[in-house]
Parts: sequence; structure tokens; C-alpha cells
Amino acid sequence: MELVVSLEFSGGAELLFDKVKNHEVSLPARANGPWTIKHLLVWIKDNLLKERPELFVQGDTVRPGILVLINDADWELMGELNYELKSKDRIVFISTLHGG
Amino acid sequence: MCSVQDGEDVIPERKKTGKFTEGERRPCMKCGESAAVIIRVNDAFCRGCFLTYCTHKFRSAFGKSKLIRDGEKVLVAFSGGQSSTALLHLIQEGLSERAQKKLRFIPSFVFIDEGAVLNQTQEERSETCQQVAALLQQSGFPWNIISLEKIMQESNSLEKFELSEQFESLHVSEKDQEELKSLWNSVKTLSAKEEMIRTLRSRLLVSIATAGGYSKVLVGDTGTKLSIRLLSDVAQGRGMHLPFETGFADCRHPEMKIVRPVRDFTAKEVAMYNAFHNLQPLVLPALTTKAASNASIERLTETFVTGLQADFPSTVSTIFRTGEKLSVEDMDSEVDRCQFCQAPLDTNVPASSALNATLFSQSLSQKSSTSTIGGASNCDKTDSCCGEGDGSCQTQKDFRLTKEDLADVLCYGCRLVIKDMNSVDDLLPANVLQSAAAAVRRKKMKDEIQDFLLPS
Ligand SMILES: [Zn+2]
Ligand SMILES: [Zn+2]
Repeated sequence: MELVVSLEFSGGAELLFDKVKNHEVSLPARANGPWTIKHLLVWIKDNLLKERPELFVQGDTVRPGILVLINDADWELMGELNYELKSKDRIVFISTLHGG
Repeated sequence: MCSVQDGEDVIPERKKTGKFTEGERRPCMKCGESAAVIIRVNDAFCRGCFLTYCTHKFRSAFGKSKLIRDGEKVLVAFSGGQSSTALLHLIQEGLSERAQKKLRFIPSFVFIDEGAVLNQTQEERSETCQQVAALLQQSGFPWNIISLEKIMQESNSLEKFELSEQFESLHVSEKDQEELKSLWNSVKTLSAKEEMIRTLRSRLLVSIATAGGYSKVLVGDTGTKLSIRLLSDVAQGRGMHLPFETGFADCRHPEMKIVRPVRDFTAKEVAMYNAFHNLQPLVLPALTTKAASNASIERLTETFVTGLQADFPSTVSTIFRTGEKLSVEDMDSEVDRCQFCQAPLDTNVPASSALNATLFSQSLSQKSSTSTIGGASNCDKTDSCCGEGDGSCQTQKDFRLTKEDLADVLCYGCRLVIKDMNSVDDLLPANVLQSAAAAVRRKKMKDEIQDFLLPS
């Protein structure tokens, strides 16, 4: 079953996504196991990012200086990369880096 | 709601593997509600307690320093970014009637449009200004928008600074714009450009504030930004200036204090503050927007500091506390200042210093190659002073300030900024050249009469 979540990029992170801040996305069902933030980052890199992926992801996580909020809470409280996405989750990426 | 269990307040292992369940979410350390943000490894706050913590921190910064008097007019530099947006909101909250420890100063806001050096078109610049104007108008505080080109004007201070009611169009003189662009293009490296714009911006802020009758300028530098600056300043030969560049109050200008009220906030705290209040900071292009992480010294330092901070959340506070140990002695108004950035000169050092060694090897290598510096550097003996001693040398029109002359009255960091420029006397703002020329003449006269002075 597809999983619908909303993604939001701000603080300059949206510059890497054609300046589009809000994205409603439906993620295809995963054969092996649930969707986690870790999988979501790979999906974003392959499907949404328009340019300079290294300014958004580094290794398997987000570039340092980009904050992640899961349903208005710091992802550090939510298991970070291992958080399992639920339908209608709202994931916000905020760049705190100078110039985005 | 969960209560604090024994042993739960020890530093939690960051879980790298394993499934997360909602029940594991940590409670707020203040009220026990579900937490929404982690500040340091141990401090988890819910939304409400986090916002209270921010307001307290902001107010106490003013309380502790007692720098700003009740009813004092202050000018706030607003850039539209994350920290400016939070600063504006914190001031608004602090002045409101319901505030507990009410702030009692009277703020006005100014936005400096730097579109010219970002290669923006007139339309793009107008659009930016419209957005900023809308935000400032909404705040209800008095405000104005000034273009960076104003720094090229003759006089050291603007004649007047008026607050505006609405934004019509950006006033830019074409001559100033041309001059600023040629200055900008003569600065070669991105690192030097970043230094240059920082100095120009701060000179302009000071002259705007002076013209408006203010004696304090508030800026939105966060602790994260200042730790990055601290390290990149050391890398760029400004180690002597650290207390000025990163302190709560920068008092290098005799009549104007630059105050940094959000320096106890990290970039994360500021961004979370805005997110929880639903504030939308503007995303305006900067010199290093979308640039690689090694594009400039500052950018590289930012990558380094934020990278460390991600793995060691106390990085920023550690760097910062180290910087804290350096303090500024009260600046004597007689002290020789750098004629560009206004910080005390750090070049008056013993002959055996590293600086003099560098200068010596530079002079050796220059002897073999022909100097490319414009202007005649050896004719100043005949040109610059008429020898009458009645002040008539002040009227000399053909006093040409060479790069070497200028370097003499600049700090080490500013010398590096002008190092790659082909000439200076037709590029730098007129007001910088005027005061530099005066300082050069004073210095020369002092050197000439040195032997006749009684030792004091
Ligand atoms: Zn709480
Ligand atoms: Zn300087």
C-alpha cells in the first residue's frame, strides 16, 4: 500500500528543490519492511532533489546543519534515521546554514 | 504523559539501530510533557517550556549587561534570515505588555540591500525589498531600507537617516553602484570578498545609526555563527580582534556599540524558535548560496563546525567559552585604529615578530619583480606636504594613496583583503580613503619629527 506523507523544505533547503517548499508525496509500498527516514532520504535524493545532492545528504544521513522535524518534534527525540513513517506524517527539513 | 524514571536522566545513547516507538520519547525536563526539542544532549524540552527558555535567555542577556538604558533608542539590523526573524519576534514579545521582565528600549529596524554585489537585477532587488518591507511593516516598528551602495558616498556619515512608512523603490545612485561594483570586482578571492562585505556592511550600519542619532546597533549573530567566525578569524589573521568580533558588545567604534543579543542561542535554537512560532524567515541569496563546502575559509569553517556539532552537541558552546576567556580592555580613544575595520591596530609589534618576518620576505621578493601598484610611491615626499607647516598640505590635490601607504594604517586582516587589489585610491569608498590619507600623513609627520622629540 502506498504511504502518503508531506515534506517541507525551508531555511534555504528549498533552493535544492526548485524553490518548492511543500511536497505531498506518495511512497510506493516497500517489499521488505516499513519506510524509515533512512529510506526516505534515499527516495528524496532519487526522486525530488534537483541539484547538488551533497548539499542535502551526506553518507546515509542529512548534511550537518539541516534540522529535521517529525510532526513538529526534533527528530533526535524520534529515533532519527530509524523512525518509521506513518501515513500523513509531516517531515520538515530546515537548513540553518548560511546562505542555505 | 510519562514520569521521569530512575536513571533516565543519564546521557541517552544515540540509537543507531533498532526500532523507535512513540513510548520511548523522552519527557520535557521541566514539566514532564512529551518533549519536542533537544537542546544539549541532556536537555529535552516540550514546545512551551522551550519557548519560555528562549524568552528568558533573551531578556537576561540585556539584564546582565545593563548596556541599554530604559527608553533608549536602538537600531536593529534586520536581514530577514533565521536569526533576524527570531530577534524581531523576541523584541516584539519582550516589549509587549504581558511580558514579565519587560524590555524598555525603543527599536527601529534597518535592512541593507546587498543586491549589487550578488549580481541581482534591479527587479530582483526590488522584489527582495518588497518582501522585507512587508515583514517590517507588519511588525509595527519604524523601519527603513538602505542600499549597500550608500557606503560609497563622500562623507563618512550619511546626512540623515529617516524612517519610512512604506516601500516605494530602492534609491540607488548609478555612480555609487558603478563604484561599488568595481571595488567588488577588484577583490579576488571569495574569502576576501566575504571579509570585504562584512566590513562595508558594518561601516554602513554605524554611519546609518550615527545619522539617526542612535548609540547602539543590535545584530542577530547567533553563537553558532560567532564560533564559526571565531575560528575563521584566526585563520584569516584577525586573532587580535576576537573579543570585538564575538563579544556581547563590540566597542571598537568610539561612539557606537554593536550589541549581539542572540549570541547565547545556537542556530538550531533560533530555527526551532521560528518553527514553533510559525515564523517564515526569508531565504535571500548570499555569496556562498549553493557553493561547495570549501568555497571560502568561512564556508569551510562552517562545514567543520556544523559537522562537529552534529556528533558532539557541545562543540559550539566549547568554542564559544574558549573565546569568552579573551576580553577587551576598555578602548582608549587615543589608540591607533585600523582605518578600514576600525579595530585597534595589531601591526605595531616588535621587530622580531612573525608579521615583520613576513613583511621582510615580501619586500625581498618585490625587489626582484617590478611593482604593479599604480601611483607613484616615492614622490610623496615632494607631493604630499608643502613643508609650510601651516596646514596648507591638507589642500594638496594630488596626494595619491598607494597600497603600501594604506597597508601601513590597516590591521593585518584588512591588509590581506586589499592584498590582491591592483590599486586602492580609485576603488575604496571615499570616506575610507580620506581618513586613511589623514592617518598616513600623521604617521609620516610623527616619523619625521621622531628624532627631535624628548623621550617621555
Ligand atoms: Zn515542558
Ligand atoms: Zn582592519
